[in-house]
Amino acid sequence: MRLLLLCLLLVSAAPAATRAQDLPAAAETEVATPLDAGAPTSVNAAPVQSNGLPTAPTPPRTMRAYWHVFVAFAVAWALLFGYVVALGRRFGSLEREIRRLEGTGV
Amino acid sequence: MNDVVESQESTRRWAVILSAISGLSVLATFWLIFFYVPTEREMGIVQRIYYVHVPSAWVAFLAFGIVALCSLVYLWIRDDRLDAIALSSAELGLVFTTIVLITGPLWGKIAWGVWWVWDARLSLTLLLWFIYVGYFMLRGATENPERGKRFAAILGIVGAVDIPLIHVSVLWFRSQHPQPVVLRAEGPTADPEIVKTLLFSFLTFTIVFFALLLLRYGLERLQRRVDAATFRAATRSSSINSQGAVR
Repeated sequence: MRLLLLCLLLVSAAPAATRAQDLPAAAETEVATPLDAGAPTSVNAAPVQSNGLPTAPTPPRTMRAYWHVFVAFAVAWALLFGYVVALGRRFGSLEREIRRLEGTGV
Repeated sequence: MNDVVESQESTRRWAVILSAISGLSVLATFWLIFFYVPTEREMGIVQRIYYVHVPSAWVAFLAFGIVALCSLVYLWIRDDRLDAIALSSAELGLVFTTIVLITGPLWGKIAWGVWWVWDARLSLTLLLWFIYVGYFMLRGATENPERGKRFAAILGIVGAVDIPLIHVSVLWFRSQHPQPVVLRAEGPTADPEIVKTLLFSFLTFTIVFFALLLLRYGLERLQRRVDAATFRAATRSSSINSQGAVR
């Protein structure tokens, strides 16, 4: 009976033990700095500071990060789209101008 | 005159073809960025800004490189078309550098906690932007347009010296800015999917750049045709007026 209880205890404790083994690895991933990079999915973030500038101790997983990604993409593509629209308008006005000048026999 | 019109039609045709290709390429890039590439483990979602920021920087450098090359040859053979290409490329370079200067701080605020730091790469990029703003101011600041073109060509060449400095600044100086992750002697350090997506973004931005360059060049040629026609019209009307005054 004691043996059975011990076995049950070990079996029930196994998932917790597995999670406990996984936790340090996860924690390492969370606080990984560029200096210990070399890991395949790293793209080299900010280096260690010596001039009092803030470091990035944890990966940003906040709504603010999503918001920044959205703004970056929106601004970049809006700028390019706006530029194309501006080019189109300038084309239109120049073509009208050249037709007007050709109409005067120049 | 017919040659000019034909050449403009051909430029416009190529611009339309390239625009269609770049539209498809942009859609594919969006799919790669938002559905294919995994989220980077250290920086999280904000790393996806790289796929706009880094290719924009590449295209800006390409644009200013074209400005320098065309300006150099323009000073030598004085072909007006080279000046038109340089002007068009400088305008696009300015647009893409603006994108770099906006998207960079958006990434930096999350990754570093600050919008801007005065380190070598960031400061030199801002300097590049100001140099090419000066390029346009210089063109318009002279009474004689030909002199303006020459001065701007010289500034276009001198300004391009900043490009290699920006590239090596992260290697030569202590820098907050990330080191190169793809163009390295030891090979890319990033995940293959990240590298693939980044390279595809480079290709897309390059196609977009050439499509816009053709459109802008076509516009510049049309502008110069209008200027020439306006000048002819003004000359003719002044000569008619002077004949009337003599009678």
